[in-house]
This record gives sequence, structure tokens and C-alpha cells, in this order.
Amino acid sequence: MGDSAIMITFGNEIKYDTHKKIKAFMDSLENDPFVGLIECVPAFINLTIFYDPLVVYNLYKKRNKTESMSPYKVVSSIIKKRLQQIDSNQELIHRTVSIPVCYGGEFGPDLEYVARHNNLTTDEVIYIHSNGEYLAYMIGFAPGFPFLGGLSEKIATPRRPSPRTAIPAGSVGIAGAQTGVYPISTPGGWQLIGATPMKLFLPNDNPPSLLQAGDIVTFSPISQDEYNETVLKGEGQ
Amino acid sequence: MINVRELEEVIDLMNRSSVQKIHIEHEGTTVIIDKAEATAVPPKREQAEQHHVQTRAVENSYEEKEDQVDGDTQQHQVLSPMVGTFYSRPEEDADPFVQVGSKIKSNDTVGIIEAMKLFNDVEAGVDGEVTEVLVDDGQVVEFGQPLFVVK
Amino acid sequence: MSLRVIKPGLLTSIQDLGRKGFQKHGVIVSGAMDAYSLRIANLLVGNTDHEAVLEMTLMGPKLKIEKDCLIAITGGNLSPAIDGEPVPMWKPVFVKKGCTIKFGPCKSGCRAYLSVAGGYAIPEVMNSKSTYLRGELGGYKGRALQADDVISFNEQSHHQSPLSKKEVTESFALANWSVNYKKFLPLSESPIIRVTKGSQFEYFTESSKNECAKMPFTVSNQSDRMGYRLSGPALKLTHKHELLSEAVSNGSIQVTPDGNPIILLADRQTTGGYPKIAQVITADLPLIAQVKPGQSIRFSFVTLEDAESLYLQKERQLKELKSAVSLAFKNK
Repeated sequence: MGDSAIMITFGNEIKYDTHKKIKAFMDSLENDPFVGLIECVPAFINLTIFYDPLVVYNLYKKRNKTESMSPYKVVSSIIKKRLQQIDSNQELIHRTVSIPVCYGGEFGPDLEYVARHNNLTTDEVIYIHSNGEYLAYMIGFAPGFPFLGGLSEKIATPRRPSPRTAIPAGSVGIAGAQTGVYPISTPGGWQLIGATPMKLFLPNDNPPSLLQAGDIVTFSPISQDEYNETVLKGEGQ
Repeated sequence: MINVRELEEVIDLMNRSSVQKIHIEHEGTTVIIDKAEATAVPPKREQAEQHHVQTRAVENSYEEKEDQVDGDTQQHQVLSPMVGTFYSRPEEDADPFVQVGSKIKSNDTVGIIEAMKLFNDVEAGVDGEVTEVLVDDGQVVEFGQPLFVVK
Repeated sequence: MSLRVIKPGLLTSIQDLGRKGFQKHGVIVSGAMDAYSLRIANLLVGNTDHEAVLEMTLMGPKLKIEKDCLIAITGGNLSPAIDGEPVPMWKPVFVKKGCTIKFGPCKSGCRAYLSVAGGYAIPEVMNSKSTYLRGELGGYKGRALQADDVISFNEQSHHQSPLSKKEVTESFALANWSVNYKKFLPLSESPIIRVTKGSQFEYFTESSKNECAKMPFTVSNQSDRMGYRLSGPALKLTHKHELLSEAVSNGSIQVTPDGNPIILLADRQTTGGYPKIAQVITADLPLIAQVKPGQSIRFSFVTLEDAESLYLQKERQLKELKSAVSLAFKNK
């Protein structure tokens, strides 16, 4: 992927097993980074490794006293070696994060549409959505935005034909077979079914994202009053 | 082994400074660079990239002063303050700073010398009239090499 | 009180080399579009090369300097002037308190950088001072500069003294040396941007691959720090591919379903779901950053080895420049 990043593909479809390999390899690189590693970005089927070619070059030049070398080849061979050392049978430990959601009303203008589309009542949609367990495969698109897998096909709904120009932060939505939460206000075409008072993007914290790739996410219904209370108390964190 | 590029940098830095002699030891290799003896001509390396920086040691024939008074005709020479590439104009398609016949003041810029990716202004250092231009635009010049004759 | 914004210009923001290490949290990198110009602006005033500077776009700002300082202006030529007198770029300039720096018409390039010795006093958010405009974080209050904003300078570096000791009777004093900037920023009207093959290059038809390498593309008006939308020959996939979202990089060239390429730049999202036909080499990213909407560009495919050696060559040149600058400071 150009002169400063390498993408490693672990599979060709969204699968837990692929996710497990990606997560295990990322953890091993982060726990024991090679010199020049900048950061790893996990996705559904691959891991992208960003590195500083100059740092790699300078170190290698010092060690091997040669000037004709490619930082890409050096990093590739490091990665190949590291890949062999990964024990992909090891079970992943997942954190579970529960996100309170106030469904419907002004927060979920598309809840009724989602219900109609799937021949359900709004209560049934809420029940199905809040009883699922969702795996955060990756964080991307916007700061703290989780790509969640595991939405019941019973409430899958296509995107809106034309996107909204601004979706408020905290909105919980459905797009096709995916569900997610908008951490910051952005344009978007998702069907909005509710909102959480919780903050998913925390720029002053480390890590700055409430959710990490590999987390299990659950949603628990709250009333409008509970929503307002949480916001007032500033307990969004 | 000390690499050639690093050596070039050292020589370049020396040429631009008043250091006369330097002794480097690195992983068993010793290099002595002595400006006075002008023995530090490094081996030619493969020209892998454009490199305008000159690596030759300074020759002794030029004296280290800004201007040289030539006999009793009151002729001054404007000397190059460093090793590098001489440019007679500020931009490619601009007029030269000075030409034969130009009246100049001591602090006027009369040319530019490029060394190590820096353009260095050359000041006249003397008031007068340019009677001769001794170097071409884009020519590599030595430290102390006469650039202009000023009357 | 050090610098007061009188007119903000089209888009003036605080940027450094970007917010690295947080992409897996979805935090975009931001940072200067033209990183070489930023680094040189910093070298010229004695800062470390990743210090934050002002990035100015097409129409520069008008700024009041409220404290003696050493500055440098690099990047595209937005006709900078101090108290009405044109001021040269790519060299240190000592500016006296009370002066006004004003930028005029854009003569070349698109983005200019204004550094100050010591740097601007901006708090770091996630290890960076860069402004992420859409996320409203970092930089000066997370936004582009506005009229009446006041930015302080940090303690000035030791390089301040040589020029300021000079008798300064005018509004400003210039160093008698400058950077051969064409080595770092060879601007042209229709630049050729070198690229390597993108991750999904093979998904595209033979004719699209050829067109991408040969035909000119025009940078559309919908181009900003996030990315440049290009128009030209429609680039087609051999067949429909369902691509899952994955990481993208600075300079990744994605192709949207309508066949138009988008070059992803400093404020890009961390991930994308469109196939990538090509990737701009790091050494040429500053050239893209200086292209204006309406200009046409061409791509030239190079090997990864070429991309790397061009990158390393630029780094060597910067290193050389750094030694030359510190020597020039000592001599003066």
C-alpha cells in the first residue's frame, strides 16, 4: 500500500475467525513493536501496518552497512517472521460494553420505518435490537465509530435513499445488515432508531474511543428521562 | 566503513567553516581531512542523484579576504565566499543582478551561490562599477574564486 | 499576545505533521497538506521540523504581529507583504512588533506556511497540534482562524538573536540566504504525479489502467483537505466487487462507482470502501497539496522501489538543508 504502509489480508469475508487472527497479530505487534512501526489499523479482513521508511532504513543501514535496501522488503520480512510466531488458536478475550439507548421519538425518527419495512412493531424492533450481541470488527469512518457485526436479519433495513446532511452525535442507526452509533455529528444515510447519551469519542482520554476493535457491544433501552438525566449529570463518559 | 555521503557532508561543512583539519575515527576506519594539504579528495561515487554540492577541498591559491586590490588601478575583485554553484540572476527568467557597466554599492547583492540546497546572497563589498564578469550563470565556483572585477 | 488575526483568509488553520497513532480509533491524521514546506518553514526559524505552523489556502490572511519575532514563509506563493512591502519566501525574516503581514493574490501553488521561532502556543490533543476541522478538535479551538483570534508564541529559540541584533530600521530584516525550494517543491501548471499501483489496481479494466496512466485529470471544485475529486476518463472495474471497508492512506486514489477518482489527503477518513487504483508516492504528496481546483494533473506509475528511493532522496536533501541552515545561522 505505497511506500509507508503494508496491508495484510487474513481472509475474504467477514468471519469471526478472520477477526481473531487480525486481532491476535495486531496485539502482538503493539506489545512488541518493531523499530519504525507507527500504527496498526484493523479492518474486517485485513490489517494495515503504517511504518516510517526512514527509521527502518537508517536502522537497517547501521546494522548491515549497506545502502541498497528497501524499507518495504525489510518490514515485509519482519512481518513474515512475526506471522509465523502467532498462535491463532489462542482464544480472544473480549470486553463487553453496554450502551444505553433511548429508542424512538425524536431520537429515532426512522424507528417506525424500520418496523414497517420488516413487518414488526416498534417494540419488537427495540426488543430484537437490544437483545443482540454485536462484535466491533473495526473502528473507522469517524472517530470512535464502530463497525458492528451481528445484527438480526429480522430488522435489517436498507439505507435511506438520500442521506441526512447532519446526524446528531449519539444517534443509533441501521444500514443494511449493520448497526452502529454516530460518535460525532456527520452526514449519513443510516436509518436512525434511537440515541445514546454516552460519548463514544473522548478526545481527552487515552484511548480516545469508548469502543475498540474486538469489543462485544450490547444495547439496553432507557427512557427519555433516564437519557436526559445522564446528559445532565455529565455521565456520558 | 564511513559512507561517502557522510564524508561529503563533513567536507562541505569544513569548506564553509574555518576548521583546517579534522580527524575522524569510525569503526576501525580513520579519515584525516586537512584543508591546508588539500589531500581530501574523496573517491568518486556513482552519480545516483543530482548533487550540486562540491566536494573538492579548497585550493590554496585564493586568499581569504573579501576583496583584492589589484595594483594601483583601484580594481577590486569580488570573491566567492564559498564553494557552490554561481547564479547571476534571482530567478531563471529574471535580469542578472549586475552586468558590465552596472554601478554597485557595497551591500548590493551581485549574485547567488548555491551550496547544500541554500541560496547565499553574494554582496559586492565595495562601491563602484562592474568592469568584468568572470563567471557564467550556473558555473561551479571555488572558495575565494574571483567573480567580478569592480572599478 | 503575539499575533492577531485581522482577516482570516479563505482557510487558515494550525497544522503540524499530524495526529499519528490513533487511526485504529477512527481518529483521522490531519496535519499539513504539504509536509515538506512545513518542515522547511520550521528549519528556517530553528524549530524542530514537526512544530505547528499556520497553513494558509489560496487567499491568505492579514495578520498583526504584536511581538518581535523571527518568521519564515514557505509553500505556494500567496504574495506575502509586510507593511505593504513584498517579503521574500523561503528565508528567515525578522519582523518587528506592530507590523502587518498580508497575503495577496495566489501566484503559484495553493497553500503557504507561516512558521514562527519557538512555535505557536497551542495545546496538544492526542499528541498533535493539528486542527481537525470536521471533528472540531486540536489547533486553535478546533477550527479555522477567524478575525480577532489571538495566538501566542512559545519562548523563542536561540536562532532569534543573530538577525534581531542587526540594525533593524525597517519593519523587517532578511537573512542573506534562502532555500533552493525548487528542489523540494518543483511546481508546474500541469504537474505529473508519481503513483504506485493501488491495492485494487487489478480490479480495473485494461483500458482504465491505461487511461489512468496516460490521460489528464482535472481537479474539481469539490476538493479540500479531505481529498481531491478528479474528473477525466471514467475508470471502470472489470466486474462489480463488493469491497469491505479497510484502511486508507495519505494519497490513496479511490474510484467511486461513477468512475471518478478521489485522492485522499490530510483530513481523509481512516477507512474507506471504494477500490483503490493507485497510491501517490510520499515524495509527491506536497505537489498534490499545491494543486488548485481547475488545474489538470497526470499520473505516472513508478515501482515501489522508485517510490522508496525518491522518498529517501528527499529525506537526505532535507538533512543536508538542515545542516546548511544551522551553519548559516552560526556564520551570521
